[in-house]
Amino acid sequence: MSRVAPTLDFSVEDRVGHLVLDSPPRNETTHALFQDLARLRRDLLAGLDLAGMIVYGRGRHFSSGADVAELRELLRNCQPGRTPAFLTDNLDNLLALEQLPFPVVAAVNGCCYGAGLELALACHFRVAAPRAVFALPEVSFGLMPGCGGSVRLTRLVGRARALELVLTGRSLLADEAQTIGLVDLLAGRHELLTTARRLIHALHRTSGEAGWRSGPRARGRA
Amino acid sequence: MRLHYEMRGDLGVLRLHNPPHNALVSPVFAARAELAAFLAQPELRGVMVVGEGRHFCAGANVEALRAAVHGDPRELGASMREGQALLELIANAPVPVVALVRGSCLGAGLEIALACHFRLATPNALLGFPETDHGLLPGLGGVLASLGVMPRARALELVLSGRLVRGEEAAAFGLLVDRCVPAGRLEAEGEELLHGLVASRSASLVHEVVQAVQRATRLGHEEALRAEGEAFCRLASLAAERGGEEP
Repeated sequence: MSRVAPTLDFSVEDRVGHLVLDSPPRNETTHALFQDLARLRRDLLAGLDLAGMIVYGRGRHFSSGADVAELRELLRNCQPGRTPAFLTDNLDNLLALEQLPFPVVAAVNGCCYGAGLELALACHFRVAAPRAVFALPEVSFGLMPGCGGSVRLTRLVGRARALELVLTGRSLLADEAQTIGLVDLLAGRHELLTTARRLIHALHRTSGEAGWRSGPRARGRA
Repeated sequence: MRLHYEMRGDLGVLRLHNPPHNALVSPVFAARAELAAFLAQPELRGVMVVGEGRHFCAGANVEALRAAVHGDPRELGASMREGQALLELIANAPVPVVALVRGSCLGAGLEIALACHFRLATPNALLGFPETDHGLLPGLGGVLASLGVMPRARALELVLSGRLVRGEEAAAFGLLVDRCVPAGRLEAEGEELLHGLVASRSASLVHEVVQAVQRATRLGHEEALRAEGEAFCRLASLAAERGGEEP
């Protein structure tokens, strides 16, 4: 593993990138993490010939979401009608991740909350261990998802379920997440990365790079 | 057909009223300004759409529909557009809207139910698009709305065949019906669903979330994402005004 940034690890194995959220145990989606992600994309990913990329968290969790104290600080001077730069950056960052020219698979173990789930939602596929837990708990702070969570969730699971999950902030386990279409594949905790890698290679074999490039943006959006 | 407006506590009730089947004599089933004003009430926390009596809405009255089809095409076009505008008002409501479906829910009736965010139905309710039997298709946005709640193949099958399905079957495929509920519990479950969603949430939070989700079904991807970011900021500045408790 090469530590490319304080909060991220990145390595390549058999043409598959491994992007690791690397501030265990919570792997919070801090401002620094998003900045590191932007740098990684610009400096490293652009020049690599990858078949796909797996995104996962170091240790027991994918990510617990925002660092609440930091978020409070960042939002201190938030004005209605003026989106602060950090939020626009996060949004552009996830949009760019979504538009990478190869499949990106989130491999989810443990907690996948808030902006952590928004990051997983910007990936093209989600593979989860049975004990993975998903939630958008922003409402309990009087807030809502701000990095595309409500939009991407709605497109994935439909208006009714998205409304319910965003408004209540309730958490769901991997099997329910799979039933509603939030998770694509379930895999044992220790088979997560293998399953993600297999998915990437299968996509590569069946659609090839050209096929994939014309694919993700053309994928159905409800 | 008249749309009756009621308040039950903080929940609004829209009652389709033309017994016994609540058939529509025109796609314009309500006055737009009246419906808009009702949905914009600041104290409103959620809305239930129901039919008077034993049926939700059996769709267009066949004689009225035939007359409209053979009448002035410009008039038909204008009334269809107005009907669509009414359904968009319901779909874009700033609070959650649930359709409580019993008896017949056909054609335009199903289109009204599909404009709602949620659908609860009795196991025996009858849902479907019989338009093709008359050489027509659902014209109030029902085809598009179907694609939001079920796979494309299923939507095609329902619209092309005109097959009617029971509530029980509808609940088994996708989100055409979110949940089946015994007839005697329909309204109580509707109230519980809405209160469960909005309880302990501020009005502005509910409005922002409902509209962000709705935008995801109406706007282009990037536009919807940017709008969500702006909504987040509006809530953040409200939270900041309330004092440092919330982030």
